[in-house]
Amino acid sequence: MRINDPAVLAEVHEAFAHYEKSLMDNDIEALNALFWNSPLVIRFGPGQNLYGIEAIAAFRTARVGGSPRRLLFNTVITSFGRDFATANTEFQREGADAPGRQSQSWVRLAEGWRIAAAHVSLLGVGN
Amino acid sequence: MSDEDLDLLIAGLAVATGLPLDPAHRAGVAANFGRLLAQADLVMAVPLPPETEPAPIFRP
Amino acid sequence: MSLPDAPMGAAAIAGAVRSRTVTATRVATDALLRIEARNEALNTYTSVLAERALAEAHAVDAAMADGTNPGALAGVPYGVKSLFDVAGLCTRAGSIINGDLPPARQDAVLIRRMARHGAVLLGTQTMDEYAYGFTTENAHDGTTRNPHDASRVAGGSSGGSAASVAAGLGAVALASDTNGSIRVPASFCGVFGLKPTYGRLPRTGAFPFVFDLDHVGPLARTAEDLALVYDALQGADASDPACALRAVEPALPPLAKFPSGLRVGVLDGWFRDKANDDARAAVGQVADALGARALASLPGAEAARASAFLITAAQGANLHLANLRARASDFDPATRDRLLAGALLPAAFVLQAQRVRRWFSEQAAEVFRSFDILLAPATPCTATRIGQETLALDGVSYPVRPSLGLLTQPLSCIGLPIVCVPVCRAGALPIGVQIIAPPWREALALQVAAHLERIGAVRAASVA
Repeated sequence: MRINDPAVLAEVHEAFAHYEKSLMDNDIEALNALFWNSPLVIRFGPGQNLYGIEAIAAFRTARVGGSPRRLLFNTVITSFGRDFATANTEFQREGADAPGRQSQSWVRLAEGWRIAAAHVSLLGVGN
Repeated sequence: MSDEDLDLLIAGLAVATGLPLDPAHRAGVAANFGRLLAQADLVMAVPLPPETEPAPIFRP
Repeated sequence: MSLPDAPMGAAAIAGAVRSRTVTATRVATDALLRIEARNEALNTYTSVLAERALAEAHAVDAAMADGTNPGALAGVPYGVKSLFDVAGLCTRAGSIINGDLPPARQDAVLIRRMARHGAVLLGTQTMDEYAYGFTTENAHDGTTRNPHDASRVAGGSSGGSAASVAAGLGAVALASDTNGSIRVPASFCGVFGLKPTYGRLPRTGAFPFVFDLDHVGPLARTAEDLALVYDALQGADASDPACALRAVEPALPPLAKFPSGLRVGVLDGWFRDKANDDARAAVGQVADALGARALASLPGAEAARASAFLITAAQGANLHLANLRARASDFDPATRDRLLAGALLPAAFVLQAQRVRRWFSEQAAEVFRSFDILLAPATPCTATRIGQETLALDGVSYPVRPSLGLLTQPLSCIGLPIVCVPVCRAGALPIGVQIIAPPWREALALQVAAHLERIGAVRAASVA
């Protein structure tokens, strides 16, 4: 299995960037389309644990104004073989002091690259 | 200086300086060189006493 | 704490970070997001260095948490004209030709000094190619827009730097001035600019233009910010052969003092003739605020300007000669033919020009026996329109681009320290006035600027 095959990495980078742009534009349709359309998809957010695409879509619709504006840094995307990649990034939200973290598991399905699982949290107190 | 003389001058200086001039640039170069000559007239007209050294001083 | 909508100055930001009122990370994030929102419309940044900026901001916050002194510019976000070396980046200086050079191995000296004082670098800013212009209309990178009127130029060659400061995309900026490239955009964008004495600040790691005339200096929204940054930048550096080996002369501590009995003169002759009504009115306003009635005559300004014009053409061309021979078409058309012509200039003219500089310097020294400070407009007019070809002065038509520097060029020719202060009038575009001091008296020029700002005679123009 090849790790970080350049062609695969390029595809995932593009999908990742597309997700980020959709998030900043609060393009709810695009955001929902980039998540795996399944009851098995998971998104743990800073304030909520969401199971299944319906719960995630409902969350998007309910979030007035969408995600706060943010800058990404220390982004690391790693691909494994042709069909799987992890994407981890730190981010700095407008108006926040603590940085945040976003982890995504991307899978190449028949319909294209989709997020199968995601976790977003802010860096806080802990060991 | 007539336009013809100016063109000849520029062509000669370009050869001496080893600076090939693209024909497409010649008109722009002539216009700018003409402006430089006009500014040079102003500079050359200043009567300078012999004690007036150049502004930059070399300190080894 | 939420950050105010009006852009915060450097002194205010450093104070807020050092007193733990706000984190450097918050300030940097805010600045980077502002750039993201506005850069496409204004075109002031060529490269935005978000990761580096956040890393520098985090380091400042870590120092604050540690109890280590983060520096006098703690958390201050700033940009630099894209002729300054930034480690890992190619120093393009507004060109495409420089794109073939290897990336800079280390930051320019002035950037290292900013970093040492805790400032946070946001990115590199637009300029005229190789600094040879007064409008920042760059064939490769596009035109930088005046934040007060998008149909007008920001001035040049440090247009990106002045426009950034005016629009709050960074609290301060570092730029360069050879014939007016800090003062012209400061005037057009309504911000403060400092061109120090020639040889005061080291140019190490700044891509050159004209060795005999290049200066580097800061732009800011207040006189205090200029002084704060200027002090952080001061100090000799032997790697710049033109840098004078002078001790640091801090300008911030005495800034609030205004010397009594100051002899202020308004330059007449050339400095009045090459100015339109707006420019003359602006100088008049500043003169009135200082109680200055006297006119000062400085003979030879036209010849001095001509000298700077010739030296610029000759030295600029010599620097770029190899590329002019090999790839002339890769230059911006606006700079190419000027450089080609300069490469052919007979020696007699350039050598005489260097002696005229010495002569004119002596004329200025004579005037400074009778005056402590001289005043002149920074530009003949307010910001011109993008693509404007001519401007009218006293009924005579001048080509816009070379003429914007008519009032700055004679003075930078002899390296006098100058603070450009912004004069704002209701319903009109801002315009700058030059506060001109004798060599090495930057602190005095800054005191005058600070005084004018305190009494409300000058202020950075607000951007809608």
